[in-house]
Amino acid sequence: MSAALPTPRHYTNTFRGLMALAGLAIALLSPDLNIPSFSENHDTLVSINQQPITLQQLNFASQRLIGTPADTLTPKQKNTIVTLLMDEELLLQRAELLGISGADPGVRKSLVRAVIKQAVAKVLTQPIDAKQLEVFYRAHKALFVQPLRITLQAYRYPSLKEAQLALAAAVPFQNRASLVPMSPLPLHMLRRYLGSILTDSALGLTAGQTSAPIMRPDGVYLLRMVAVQVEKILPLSEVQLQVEAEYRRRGRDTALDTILRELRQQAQITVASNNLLRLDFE
Amino acid sequence: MSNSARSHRAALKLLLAGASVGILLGGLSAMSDQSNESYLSATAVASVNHQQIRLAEYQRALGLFASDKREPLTEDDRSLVLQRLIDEELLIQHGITSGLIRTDMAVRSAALEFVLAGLMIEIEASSGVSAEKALTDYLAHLRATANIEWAANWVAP
Repeated sequence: MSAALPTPRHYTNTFRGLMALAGLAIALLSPDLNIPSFSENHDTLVSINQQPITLQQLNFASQRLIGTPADTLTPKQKNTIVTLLMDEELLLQRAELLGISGADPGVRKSLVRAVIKQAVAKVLTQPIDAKQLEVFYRAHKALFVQPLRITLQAYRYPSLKEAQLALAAAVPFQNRASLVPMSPLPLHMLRRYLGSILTDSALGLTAGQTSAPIMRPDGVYLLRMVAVQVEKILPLSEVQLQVEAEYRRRGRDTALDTILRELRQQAQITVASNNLLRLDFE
Repeated sequence: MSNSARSHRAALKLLLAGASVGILLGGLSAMSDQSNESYLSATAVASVNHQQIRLAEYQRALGLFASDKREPLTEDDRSLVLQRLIDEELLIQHGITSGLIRTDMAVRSAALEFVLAGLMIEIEASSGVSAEKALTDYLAHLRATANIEWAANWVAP
């Protein structure tokens, strides 16, 4: 008579039996089981409702309160700080229980700040290598343009005759204060000083040229172009700091967008369209 | 009919019944998801993980936004303000679940200040006990009701 060969079903039953035995053994031994990385954190000094207070926290509090690391303290001092940390922990747990950690405007504001700080920390601290910066600069050159700047003198006269006399004189603008500062100004600043019409007239002048008298309701103007600095893209060497700042700013925005997108995807968000429709925005 | 065929039919019936219950529960769940909005109170404009954003909060944010803008608010502006409030709530919830209330000093201080301020109001309302004594008593009560476990290598006070 030949011995019956074990079937796959036989193997399955044996496997199940072994697993059941293992489960039973774990259940029986569990009170004595110790998984070091899980239940025995050597850093933990005391746990309050399963919330640990660690040696690291003690050190930090010691530095903050006394200015020295915890290992320089006497046992009594250490216990005083640990008691303080315990009291804080109990109050924090109370805050969590009451749900006030997310309700108080001050706590909410600091939570938002802390989350943003945490989300963008990597972007703000990681070094930027020269190649990365150059690639970014090339892709965003338009941001690093020095705009057109004009150095202009502008004078107002009460009548056309006086303006014409001044224009005819060899040194026409002596003893007269210019209406705009004698420094290179961008166009928007010039418009603020002179208005659009006079600024547009100034744009037609070349360096050293003086305009014909320009009649305006409040007087007659003479404009003298001193210098024109044309718009130019600044080289990377000149704007390295601005490029770095812009690179980090965009990285920060991207990091924040990423975390918000992830949070939105995981969240259950409901908008009360009916309640919004009932609002009177008039 | 053989026993095997009979048990096969019974199994099929059981499968059919199970599938029907599954379909019914799935349908009910989908319907309840669709009508989530009806669970929001009339004073809420949105909810983020069941945390409601109040109408008053939305209107205050709109007011602030409008004060910075010279023209009247548009539909896009209102939508942006609501989105910002939702984002803020998401960040707050993330901060709480990440444990920032303990690990970030600014958040920790703000939370502790808030709890203590609430306690002081209660203490002031109850006459005859000094603030320090009342706080000590309160902390003693919290300690007595908490599960405190000391590390084996630490000499507890």
